[in-house]
Amino acid sequence: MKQWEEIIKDKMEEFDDTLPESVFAEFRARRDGTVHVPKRSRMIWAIVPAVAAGLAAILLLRQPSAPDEEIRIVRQPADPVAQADIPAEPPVDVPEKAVFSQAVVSPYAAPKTIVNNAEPSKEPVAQAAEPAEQTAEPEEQPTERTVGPMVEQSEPAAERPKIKISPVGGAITGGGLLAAVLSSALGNTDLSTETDINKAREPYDYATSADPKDIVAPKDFLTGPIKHHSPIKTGLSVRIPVSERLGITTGLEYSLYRSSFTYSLSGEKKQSAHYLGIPVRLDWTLASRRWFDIYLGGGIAGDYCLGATFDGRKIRSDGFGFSILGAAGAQVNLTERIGIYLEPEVSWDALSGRRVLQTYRSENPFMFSIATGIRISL
Amino acid sequence: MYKEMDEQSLARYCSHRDRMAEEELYKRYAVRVNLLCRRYVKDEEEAKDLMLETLIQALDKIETYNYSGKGSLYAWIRRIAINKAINQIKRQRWKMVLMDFREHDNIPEPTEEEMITIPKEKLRDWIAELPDLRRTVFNLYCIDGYSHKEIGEMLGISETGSSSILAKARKQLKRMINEYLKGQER
Repeated sequence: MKQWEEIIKDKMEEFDDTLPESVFAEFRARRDGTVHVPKRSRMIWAIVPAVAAGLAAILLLRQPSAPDEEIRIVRQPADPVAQADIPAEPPVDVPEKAVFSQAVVSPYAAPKTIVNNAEPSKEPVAQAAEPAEQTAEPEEQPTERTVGPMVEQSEPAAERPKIKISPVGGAITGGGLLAAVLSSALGNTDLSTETDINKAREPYDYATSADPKDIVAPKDFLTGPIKHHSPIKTGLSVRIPVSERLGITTGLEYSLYRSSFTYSLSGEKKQSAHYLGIPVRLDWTLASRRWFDIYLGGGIAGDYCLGATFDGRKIRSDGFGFSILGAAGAQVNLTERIGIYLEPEVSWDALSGRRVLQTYRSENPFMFSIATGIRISL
Repeated sequence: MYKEMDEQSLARYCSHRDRMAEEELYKRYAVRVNLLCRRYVKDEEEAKDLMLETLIQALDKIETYNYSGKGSLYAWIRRIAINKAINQIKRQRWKMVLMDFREHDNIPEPTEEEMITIPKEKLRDWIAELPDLRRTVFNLYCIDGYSHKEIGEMLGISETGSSSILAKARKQLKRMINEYLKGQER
């Protein structure tokens, strides 16, 4: 008695089929080399992870957001009484009475100018070295006059000191900047770094609107609980199969964190923070049909805050951060390679001094969220 | 002349790029190779492409063919086709995994009488419906006669992995056969 598999084998071998004439014509053409058969290229599928990797590199190499800043050289106040009291100072390299001031160019912040009336110390000169290029383009600088009792700004371009940077100095500065950017982007997540970062930023944190507390009036106190909404997560994902069930999933994921703060005078103010993350996960397919997949996965995700607003104004945003995540997902396959996924996931946000915003995540480092998006299966 | 030519002579003529000999080789093996490709790749157009690529590669390398008895030319071409099919499947994702949560295989095996009633087209469609890896292992083991060791080497999996995949493929096929037979009884 024959086994059922043997009968299948026999039936498969006794198949009699025919091929249309056009197939022979195609064979002949291919054999003669008169027809070019395009190789099935998988390059198109390589573009997606390449773009993702490129964006990741840009995100990593970008400095944390800070308001645009300029360094201005302003004259000391032309106060005849004060000038009469102060004896003439000996000439120095930097033009007399010229000091550095930094001004915020922000649509939301009132322009303030910090003026250092003291003798030019080494510190401000050192600060000036970085934005030297800005001083080299005086024509493009908007003329800004800060109204104040002590400060008068008027600086024709010709009167500005010229700072020359030698090629070696430029290279060293460039290398230093690159190192700073890299360390800033890839920096450790130790809480103790927060102080250091703030110290480093200190010269630039003048007149800032980068913190919510600077947006509300001084006597406008936070009252009532802060409400953090569940994050909204959506993304473009790519799954690279490793075996029948295992796959590496990565891509780009956008997250929106919304919070509401209630103040005593101004009432409710809303904060929104936008993040772009790159999760890297190992997924195990539990079950799969033509139209449907169920899977479990675990891995890590790195994200970067694209921007944050508080009451409609741009505020200082979070830096780069990491989280560990686990997900259970379901995917509806629209075509052989493209599907829509829905993933309830749990994640634990690694403590990071770069997270400065109060969000759902900062309040709940171990959090639950639901992500959705489009997935390309390679 | 070409129609009666033995395999050895046909191969020799083909090696001299004799167009008539090439045409004869196509006539003899194209359908069989196409059927074989249909078993390995689901898509009919993909199978046709694979068959054409196989025959062209065979003709390009016909000098390397060593005659070892009747049927050896087809066996040689078949090997090329299977290798190409496996490479193609390897390049693609291992498609569908069945929604079977380790349930025991208690599906009764169909009898010889039952199997005879099933049209071969149905069987071919059911094999085509198997996920890539299961279909490949089933074809290699049950139809083309490869051992689990050989399959493991060809697919880069272990012997036990191969037999486990075969068990799943069998179970899935048996389920489809039983569902069909139940439908016929009604």
